[in-house]
Parts: sequence; C-alpha cells; structure tokens
Amino acid sequence: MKNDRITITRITLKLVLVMALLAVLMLLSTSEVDFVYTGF
Amino acid sequence: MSFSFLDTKLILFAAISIFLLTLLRGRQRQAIFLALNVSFIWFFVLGSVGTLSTIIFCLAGYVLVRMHQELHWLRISHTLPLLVGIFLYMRNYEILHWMLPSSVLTSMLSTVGLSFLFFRIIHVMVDAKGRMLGKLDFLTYVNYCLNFTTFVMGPIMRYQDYYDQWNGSKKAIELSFEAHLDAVIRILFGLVKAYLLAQLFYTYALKPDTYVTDLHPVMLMLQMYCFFFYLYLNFSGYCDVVIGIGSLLGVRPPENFNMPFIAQNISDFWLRQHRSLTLWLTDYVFSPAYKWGLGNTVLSAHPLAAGNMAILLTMLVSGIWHGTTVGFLFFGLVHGIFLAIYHTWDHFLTGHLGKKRAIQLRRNWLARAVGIILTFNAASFAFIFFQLDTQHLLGSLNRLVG
Repeated sequence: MKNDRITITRITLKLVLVMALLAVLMLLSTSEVDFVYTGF
Repeated sequence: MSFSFLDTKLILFAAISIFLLTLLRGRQRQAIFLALNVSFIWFFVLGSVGTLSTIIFCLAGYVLVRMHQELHWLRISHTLPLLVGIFLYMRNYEILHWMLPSSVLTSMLSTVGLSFLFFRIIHVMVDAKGRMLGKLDFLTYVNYCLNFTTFVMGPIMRYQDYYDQWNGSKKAIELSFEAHLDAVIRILFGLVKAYLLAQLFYTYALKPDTYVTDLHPVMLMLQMYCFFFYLYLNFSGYCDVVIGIGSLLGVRPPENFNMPFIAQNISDFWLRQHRSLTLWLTDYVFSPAYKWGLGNTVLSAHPLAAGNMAILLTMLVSGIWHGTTVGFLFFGLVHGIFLAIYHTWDHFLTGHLGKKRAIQLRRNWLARAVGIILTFNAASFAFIFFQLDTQHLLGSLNRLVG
C-alpha cells in the first residue's frame, strides 16, 4: 500500500516535470542549433 | 548543418516511427524501418545526391563484409585501404587539396554521418572476418548502418548489440509505463541541454575565428572552459534525445557521456567523453597496434614504448576521423601526447610504489582533486585545436613562434 503511494507520487512528479520541460521547449521552438559533430 | 529537433515534421516522424516499429513484426518491421531510415536521411539530412552516395558507400561495405566471410585468404589489410581511400575522397579532406589537382576533387557531396557510418562498416568487416557475427542478414546490416537514431552523430552502436535488441533477445527498455516516461523525460532533458544550456555557454565560448594570442590568458581560459561545457551539453544533449527515441522504438543506442569534466586523468576523460568512440578506437586501432608492437623485434623489449606508440597512433586516427582540417590532426596529436605522458607516469608510479600503494594514492582526495583540475585544463586546452579554423589556428601558432 505504502509502496503504491510512493510509486504514484513519483510518477505524478515525473509527469509534472514533463509538462515543465515541454513548456520550456515551447518557448525555444523557433531556435536553431548547430550540432557540433555534424559540422566538420 | 543545422536541423532542428523542435521541427514539427521531425517530431511527427519520430512519433510515427516509434508507433510503427512497436506495432509491426518480422520482415514488415525490417522493411518499414529501412524506408524510415532512408526517408530520414533523404529529407532531413542529406538530400538526394548525399543519400545516394551514402547508400552506395554502405552497400560497398556490405560487399566487402561478405567477401571477408566467404574468402578466407582475404585480409583486412587488402580491403581497408580501399574503404579508407573512398572515405577520404568523399569527405574531401584538406590534405587531398595539397596532393591532388582540384579538378579531380569533390566538394559538392554532403557527407554528414559518413564518419560514423565508416566506423560502423569497419567494425562489421573486422568482426565478420573474426567470425564474431554469425550469419549476416542484408536488411539487418543496412538498417544497422543507416539507423536514423544513430546516423547523424552516433553513438557508435555495435552490430551485435543492435541485432540482439532488434530481435528481442535483449530488451531496449523495461515494459512499464514509468520506464517509457523516463525515456520521454530523457528526450526532453536532452533538448533543454542542447537548445538552452549549450547556447548559454556558446555565447562565451571560444569561436573558430579567434587568434588566441590576441586574448588575455584569463579570457582564453574562460573561453576554453565555456567551449568544453558547450560541446558537452550540445553533444550529450543530442545523445540523450537519440537514446530516448531509440529506447522507445526498441533499439537503444549505448551511453556516450558520463560527466567528462570530473575525469581524474586523461584516460578516464576518454571513457567519459564520447565513450562509444573510445571503445571503438580501443578495439580496432589501439589493440591491433599494441599487439603488433609487442610482436615487433625492436619494440617487444620495450612494452611501455609499444604502448605509447599505439596510443599516439590511435589518437592521430581519432583526430583525423573527427574532421577534415589540420586542426583535428593537432587535436588528436595533443591528446595522444597527454595520454602517453599519463601512461608513462602511471607505469613508473606503479613500478615505484607497487600496485597496492599506487591504488591508495589514486584514492587520496587531494590526488583526485589535483587530477580533476589537471585533466579539465588539459582537455579544455586541447579543444582549442578542435574549435579554431585552419587560418586562425596556423595564424595563432605563427604569432606564438614569431
């Protein structure tokens, strides 16, 4: 029971993290990056 | 080349690929993966001519691999020069411009991913010759070579690892919701690293058109350090994205980075930075060269010298592989010298103190701290040769001497 609660909390936090990262990436969506190992 | 992982078309492509490869089985899955790989290379990376030349190079590799499986008298030394020659020509190496008339050289080919493909083909060729691959299936080979997750900049996956994951005898990822969620988080973190954090460091990083002799030493160090972190975040961010995508579609590429800025010595650095390349070079350049050295009548009496020669050769190959300009040759040479110094130091330390006390010394916190600082500075310094263009590198060296 306790283990289930811990798992659910962990997964919920990870989902919140996904949302936060997506929000950051939405702001960056127009930026372009040169990947170093393709450039020479 | 700049393609964007944040491009809607590419995101859609990755999602469709994951969906199809999870759904399909057998030859259908193999055929669809081939179509996806070729489409990716064609539409997102190389265009028609580049894709065609890459496929021809890949097929030439297959012919050589099959020849090594069938013809027992054929040696790697017979076929490797041919493959190396084609590779140098296609990549349009700067050194060829000094040796050949420009009319016979090609500068039109887009060759992104060719260096990685070249090393994958050599790996399959050598392992096929050593009877370490078993039966080689054509479609598996082509998909291994053109696998879109590792095509552009690695990591350099081994064929055996790819084969085991593709056939399901080794799991790419646990079959749980949380494991899939972790893969998604890894992709997103990778994007943040490459698109946000790396760019912050790039603002202050050393630029290719810099005469380093014109910079104040403190400014030079700051720019070197920023370039180190920029390169790490750019490349490891990319690797996080492709490892995450690979995990979701069933073939997870190997890990490539493990905090190289805390490496305690230069050998440790190369096991933390671009690790899949280091392991490849160890297996296919260092080991054969060292073995040859130990078998040589002169060098066999001096194993330390044989080791150092093999190290220098390995890092020269690494430098030349990294890029077509003379700066990369210096980059490899500098790292070869650093590694040879470390190897010699380690040899004498162990000889002088004995194995047990040498291990104790390496575990001492002060020795570790000094090792980290020295390694970080040495690696940052070597990146100067990696980053400067030929004109500014040679100009800086001229000004330093003159």
